[in-house]
Amino acid sequence: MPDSHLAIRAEGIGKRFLIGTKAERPTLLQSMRHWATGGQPQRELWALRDIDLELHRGEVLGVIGANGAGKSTLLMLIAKILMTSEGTLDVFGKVNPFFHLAAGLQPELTVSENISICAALLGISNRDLKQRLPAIIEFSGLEKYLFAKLGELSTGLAARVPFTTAIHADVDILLVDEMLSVGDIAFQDQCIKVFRKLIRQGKTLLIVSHNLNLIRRLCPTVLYLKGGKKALLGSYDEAVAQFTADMGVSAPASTSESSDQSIYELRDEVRETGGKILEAIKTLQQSREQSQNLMEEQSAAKRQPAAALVSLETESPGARPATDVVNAADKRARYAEAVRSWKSLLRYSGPVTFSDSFHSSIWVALAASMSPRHSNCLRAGDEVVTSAYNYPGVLAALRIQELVPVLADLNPRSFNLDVDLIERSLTPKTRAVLISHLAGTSAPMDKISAYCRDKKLVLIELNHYATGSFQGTALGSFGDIGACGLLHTIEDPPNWGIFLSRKAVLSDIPSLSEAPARRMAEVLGRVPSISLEGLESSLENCRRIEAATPAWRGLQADYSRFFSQFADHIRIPSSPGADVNKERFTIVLETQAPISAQRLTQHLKEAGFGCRPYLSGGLPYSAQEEANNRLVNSRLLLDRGLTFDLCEKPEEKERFFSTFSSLLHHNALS
Amino acid sequence: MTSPMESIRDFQYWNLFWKLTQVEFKLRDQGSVLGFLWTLLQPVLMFLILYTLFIKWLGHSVGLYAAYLLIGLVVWNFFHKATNLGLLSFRRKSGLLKNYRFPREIIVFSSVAAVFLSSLLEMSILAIFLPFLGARIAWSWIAFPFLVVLLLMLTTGVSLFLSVLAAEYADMERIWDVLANALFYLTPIFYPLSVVTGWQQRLLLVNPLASLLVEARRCLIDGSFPDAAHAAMLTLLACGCLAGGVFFLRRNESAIVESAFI
Repeated sequence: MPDSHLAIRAEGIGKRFLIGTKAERPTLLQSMRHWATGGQPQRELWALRDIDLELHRGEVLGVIGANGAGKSTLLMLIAKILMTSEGTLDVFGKVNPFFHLAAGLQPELTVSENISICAALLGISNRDLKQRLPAIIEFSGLEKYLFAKLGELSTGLAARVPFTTAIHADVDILLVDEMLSVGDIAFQDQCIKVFRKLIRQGKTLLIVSHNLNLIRRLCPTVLYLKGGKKALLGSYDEAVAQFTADMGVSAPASTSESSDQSIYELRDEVRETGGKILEAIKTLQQSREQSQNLMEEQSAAKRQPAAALVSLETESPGARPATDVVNAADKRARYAEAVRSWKSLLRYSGPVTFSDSFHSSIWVALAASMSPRHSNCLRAGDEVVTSAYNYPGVLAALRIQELVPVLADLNPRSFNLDVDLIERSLTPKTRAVLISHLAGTSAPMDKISAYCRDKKLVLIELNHYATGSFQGTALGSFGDIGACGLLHTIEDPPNWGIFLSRKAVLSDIPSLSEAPARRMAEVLGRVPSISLEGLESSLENCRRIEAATPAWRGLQADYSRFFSQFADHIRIPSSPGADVNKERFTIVLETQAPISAQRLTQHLKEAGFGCRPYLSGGLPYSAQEEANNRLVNSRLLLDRGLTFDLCEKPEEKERFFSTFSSLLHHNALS
Repeated sequence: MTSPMESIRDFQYWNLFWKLTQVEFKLRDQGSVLGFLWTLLQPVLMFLILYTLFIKWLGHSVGLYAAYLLIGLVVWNFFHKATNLGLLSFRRKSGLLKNYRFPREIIVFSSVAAVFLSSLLEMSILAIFLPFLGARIAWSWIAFPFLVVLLLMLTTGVSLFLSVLAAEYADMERIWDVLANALFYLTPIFYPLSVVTGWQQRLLLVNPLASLLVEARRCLIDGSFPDAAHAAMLTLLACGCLAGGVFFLRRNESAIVESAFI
């Protein structure tokens, strides 16, 4: 007599498939030949074996595992779509599989016809459907489209038809297989809410997903399948720890699928655009795929310099081969020189080290904030408040670390984040603030760092002007960790980057765990690491910036004076207290300006001046276009932000000013 | 596992069957009168060709050749279209197999039923035309629906076998193409049974479709009720074929579903 609260009981269940060795679907002739000659046309494949499971009413079980681990097979067995090959399986109550519910949809028929088809497939009788139809329509929000052909709806809207119908069917046990991968982020969120409600109602839920975040939000108990066998049945933390550890060793290079959904916890205003950002990142990933092989080689090569760094920092070369000693001593001297030069240029006294590019620095800075050796380290699933416009790679890095970016708008004066904007995006899950200094100026770091200290938030600071200060303190040194470099365009010259750190977090970085580093490498095209490869180049740039700074300062003042006469048409992003050394000048064209940003850029380029949209080109920018639509100031910076190379020669500068004025005046008059 | 009778009684599956039938029907004929007229084009054309070709040769030996040919074509048309649609039904609906749980035969039933709906219309048109082609309305016509039910059961049974085989074997579609073509000529559709005699005629009548046609013409053209012995044989055969089909499908159910995953 089974316990009356039992929902599912499986004892040693297994599923065997016969896989054709040649053709996928044999022809009659082939089968007859094999039958006649006694040949074995197929081989056995155990998709699942020796699974014991007991699930009670109201329980939720997450099922995780690599592709082909047997997750879907398990659900299909419980749904009785597939029959077990061995073992006993008892399922008590009505089961409703939530697989690819769209399978029964007919794009040529209307929405209302499709609802009734779905209902029939889910075993809802006509009478029940009539009763529930108003609720179904209301929930789906499709009342306007009832008589439109389903095929005419967008994919996202169409996906609501089967889902909404399915949750209105009476079920005791729900089986959900990766269905949240369809539909937009808002829809996924809606799904999660519904599942929570169903759990409260005492339904039993089995969820298969690659999205660990989703599993974490819904499932206290997790079954980890590996190669068709039960690897672990335990708490979320245990199962995921083992799973990620296994994946780190033997995982195929696939990240996009599993982590694509990790931004679903975004704020309302950006949820819908999250998907687009991910798409863009995917494209970026694809374009980087070619460099993957290269990366494999490089990764081996780069770990050495990282190791060298540790020995340099700790001043203990250890047991190094004799031939390396001279080299190491030489490097140590160069390293010390670079550190000294940068510290003096930045007027900064904390720890400094180097990487091979600004992007590498960004990635490592994030990884460093997650190092478990810190008491206040970030963990997967934590929310990070950051600006909607960001440097390329930031979102991808957040995602790979399974941090959840929450995009905030910019302050309309400084075009940077401020405390108010951060506070507005704060939730109990927010654990960090990631500041990217933008628009030729900086965020008000004094207030932000005080705020973060107060709220115990990790502060990460990205500064692509390389040098600059806020109220006399170097940009990049306010945060727990700061990454600096020069980033002119989206291209990431593997050149140099520097880190500044408030705490001694940098020493942990060489021990970055392999798995995230690998995944980062897939996007970045190389393994981001602290590396002395950028040392020479950074030293060079340090000297160049130091030498040029007085001239830049003068020019900045000139440009600022010049542009300020067009106050009606031009906004100069500014933040009191910020002092940034840069070889460019950034403005934002007001909407009432008489000339469009595009035309202005075009004319100035034709006249031979360095001029480009502030967020020039590149995928991650345009992909965020929609996010910026809602985040008005970010949008303004995206659409109307322009940046000019400073003209150092006085006559060139004058020519620039006169060209610019005439362009503006000419257009104002015409 | 539910028996077919239980499935029929079970309301929710009846609903599903009807919905799937509607979908098939609407998608095939675009759910419009015009769409239906287009599907009539093929049998009408076939009729015109066969009629002009054979009226001189067969006109004397067959009374009311036009009516004779038309009945043959309507019956054949249903059998041929339904088996063809039924054959591939599991492959066309593999998405449903993989994602929903319901008695699998419903997929074949609904395919056949969708064709049956349009054939019913063809048959009513046939009934309207028959008196104009010289057939007299007789009491025996009431036996025709009974024969239609036998035809439906027979066709469904054959479709069930074919669909199961087609789910497993890639070349079933081609094979049935050839077999159906042969069957067209081995069934007295445009020629009378009397073109052959003796054992050859008896051999032709082994084909249940042939004897069904003989009986259909008997009641529609000749105005006499079907031969009791023949009708009993046919009924037995049709029931056996349908039951066998369902049984065959049930036996192979897991193979069908698994083949949907390939």
